[in-house]
Amino acid sequence: MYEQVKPIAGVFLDMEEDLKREFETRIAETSTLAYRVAFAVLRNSEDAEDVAQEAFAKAYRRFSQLRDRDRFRAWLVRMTWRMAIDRTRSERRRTARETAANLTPTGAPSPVQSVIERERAEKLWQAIDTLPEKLRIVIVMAGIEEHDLREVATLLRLPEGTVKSRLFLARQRLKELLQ
Amino acid sequence: MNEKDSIDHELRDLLSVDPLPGFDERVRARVRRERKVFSWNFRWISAAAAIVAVIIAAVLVFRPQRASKPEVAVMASGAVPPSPIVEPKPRPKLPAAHHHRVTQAVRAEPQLIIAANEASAMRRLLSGEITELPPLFQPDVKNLQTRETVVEPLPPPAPVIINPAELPLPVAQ
Repeated sequence: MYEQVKPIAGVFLDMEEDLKREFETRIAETSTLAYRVAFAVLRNSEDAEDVAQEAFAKAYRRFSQLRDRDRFRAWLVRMTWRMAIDRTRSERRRTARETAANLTPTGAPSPVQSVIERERAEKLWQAIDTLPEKLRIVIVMAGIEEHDLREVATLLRLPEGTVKSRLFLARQRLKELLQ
Repeated sequence: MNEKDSIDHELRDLLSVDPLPGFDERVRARVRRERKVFSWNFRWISAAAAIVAVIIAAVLVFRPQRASKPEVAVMASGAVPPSPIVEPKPRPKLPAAHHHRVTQAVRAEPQLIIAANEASAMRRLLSGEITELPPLFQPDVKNLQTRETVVEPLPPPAPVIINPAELPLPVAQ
């Protein structure tokens, strides 16, 4: 009996090992992307890391349905964004956010230059925050890892035309707000 | 550089934030914890499903048998009924409060509808009033004649001859 069961169990174990290996690859490919998406919403590295980890845990539970690389990326991005938004809403009272300048890698600028950059970054974040969510997600996705129109459309499961028009609107609004 | 490119450039700088070192490892650790929880949950769910299946099987096997309802004989015209026909007894009058429920229960029983002449004929037959069936129902088996079976060999099959088809050739012009 044991001799008969052993090869079947072996097949299942091999399948599980394959799944684990694939998931490891996905983590290596997409961990920074998930972190950046979460950070774009939360603006706090600890919170962003928490949310990204949680998103990966959820992704693991559903990995058998998300084995396709593009599908996984798209699902992870949307899930991370939603979880980050949820966390922002639940922790709205929390105002102590890290300033953008503290996290932006900037060589060794002069103090004056540093202050100017920090103010500019703070303004840009404020402007992004005022955008409606559907415009915000599009401009953030286009900004992260220099995704092009097609990639943003794939990630957000939107038609390319919609992404294009939303991107245009978002840029217009940002330009107005920054002026 | 125009303004659109400038905003895009600024955005890219703003969003290219890297996680703290060891982030991937922390994600892997989190997933490993999830794996354990997930496998435990899976085992619990499997065990619970097995228990429920066993309980259902036990209930199905050991449930008390209900008293079977009396079978209603369906009578075709001309067939002999398996049981005598019983005149329906007059139903006792019940108090008004229970009336509705009782009538529903009575309605559930199917009614036997038999033609009056057939019913009287059967009554007569069962009471012994009829001793002999009419000749229609008594076939004369003795005088039945059957043909003798003669086995003859089949003639040999004629040869099949198929002549070649002749097609008229087109006349050259």
